[in-house]
Formats: sequence, structure tokens, C-alpha cells
Amino acid sequence: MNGSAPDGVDDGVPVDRQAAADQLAGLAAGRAALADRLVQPWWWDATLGLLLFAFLSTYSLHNTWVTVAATVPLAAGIAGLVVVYKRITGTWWDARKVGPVQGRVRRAMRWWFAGYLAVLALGLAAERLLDVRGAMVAAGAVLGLGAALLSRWVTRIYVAGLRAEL
Amino acid sequence: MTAVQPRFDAVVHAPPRLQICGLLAAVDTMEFAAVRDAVGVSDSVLSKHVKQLEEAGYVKVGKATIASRQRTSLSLTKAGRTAFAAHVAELRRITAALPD
Repeated sequence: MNGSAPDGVDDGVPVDRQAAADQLAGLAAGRAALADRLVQPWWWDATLGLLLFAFLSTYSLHNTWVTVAATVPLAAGIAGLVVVYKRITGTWWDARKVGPVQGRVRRAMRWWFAGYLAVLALGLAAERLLDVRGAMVAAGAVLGLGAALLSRWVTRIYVAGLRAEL
Repeated sequence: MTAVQPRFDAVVHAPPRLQICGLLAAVDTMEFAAVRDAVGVSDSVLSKHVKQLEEAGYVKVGKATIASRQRTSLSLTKAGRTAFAAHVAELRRITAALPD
């Protein structure tokens, strides 16, 4: 408190300028500290990419039942990653809905989804229509790598956003 | 994009509660223990402040049993996010005239 007159008053609670500035600085420091704990280990992204790669690669087996059955370990693996992330960081967040980079992430996700469908369609066309064996393994590798990199990028800009501004 | 109307909020204002809201505003959910460590208070002090925020309709408390251990998670409600954003806008308004 610097002894100046209250600048904001509500319900009988005064706040002077310096106190308000201190509170904003405290909030910014808290968010910066939070940002430090939100970054997942590299293997988390790698596992996510591998799960997607393994699932999409099953299309190359040309057996619908195998692909349908592969959705179970895929779903279990993703659920496991969510649990592990919560255990490691104590948090969960969806950068499309909360935080400082929602618009940027939403745009990136739209591009990612369009790219995902395009690569998937190309891979399936090559595998099933042109009978290029292993095309979906290649498509799975591309999309798995893409998912891992996208996950890393989202965390990076989210954390940077938390550090940059309140 | 809608501008946030500055509004002082006495519930959010108390330093521990302001910190709690600041953390929860940046995530969907945060575990009780993680909030406690970040704010640097005891379980009982955090419980007291969380209860006040919960009573104001600003915080939702969730409980889940994982591996036979009960975990408590906290999240800001829509009203809580609105109140926090308005309070921060008010702090910014107050500091806007702060000389360097």
C-alpha cells in the first residue's frame, strides 16, 4: 500500500493502484509457474504418435476386423495417456477452450483435421484401389509423426502464451 | 470478440482465492494437491477458500477414485471464469493510471 486514495471500491473493499499492480504481478508469476509444470515429457507425444501409427497401419492388413479391434487398444492407449498426463502435471486442459491461444489452436486443429483426412484418403486410395501394399503404413507414419509434432507444438504455444500475458 | 466489463469481485479478491482462480482460469481442471502446492497453503486453508468459491458458484469440486485413491479436482465454472476475467479487468483499469 502506498497510502494513496482507493481507486477501486466495491462492497467496502478498497484497492489502491499499487496493490492492484502487485496482484496482477502475482497472478502473472503464478501463471508462469503453472506453465513450467504443464509440459509433458517427450515420450508422451511419441507414444501418442505411435498409437496412431499402429492403428492406421492395420489398414494395410486388409482385414476389417483387425482394424475394428485395433480401435480398442487405441482408445485405451489415449485414455491411459490422459491419466498419465493428469498424474504428472496435476492438470488437464484443452487449448481450444481455455487459455491464451484458443483461436490459434482451433485454426491449427481445423488444418490438421483437413490434412489428416487428405492423407488418410490418399493412403486408403493407394492401398485399396491401386493395391499399393504398405501405403497405409506410410500414411500412418506421416499422421503419427504429425500428431506427435502437433501435440508438442500446442503445448509449446500454450505455455508461451501463459508466460507472455495474463 | 467481447470486451470484458471491469468489475471488482469481493469473493475473488482475497489473495489466496485470486491465486486459485488465476490457476484454474488457465486450465480445465487442476488437482487439489497441485493447487495447494502452487498456492503454497495447507490443505485446510485451501479447503476453506475453495468452499467459499464453491458457495459463490465459481468453483466446481470433482471427486474420482483412481487406483483406490480418491482424487479431488477443481475447475472454474462459467460464472467463475466471468467473475475472474471481470476482476482482472478491474485491476487493469485501476493500474492503467499507475505512473512508471
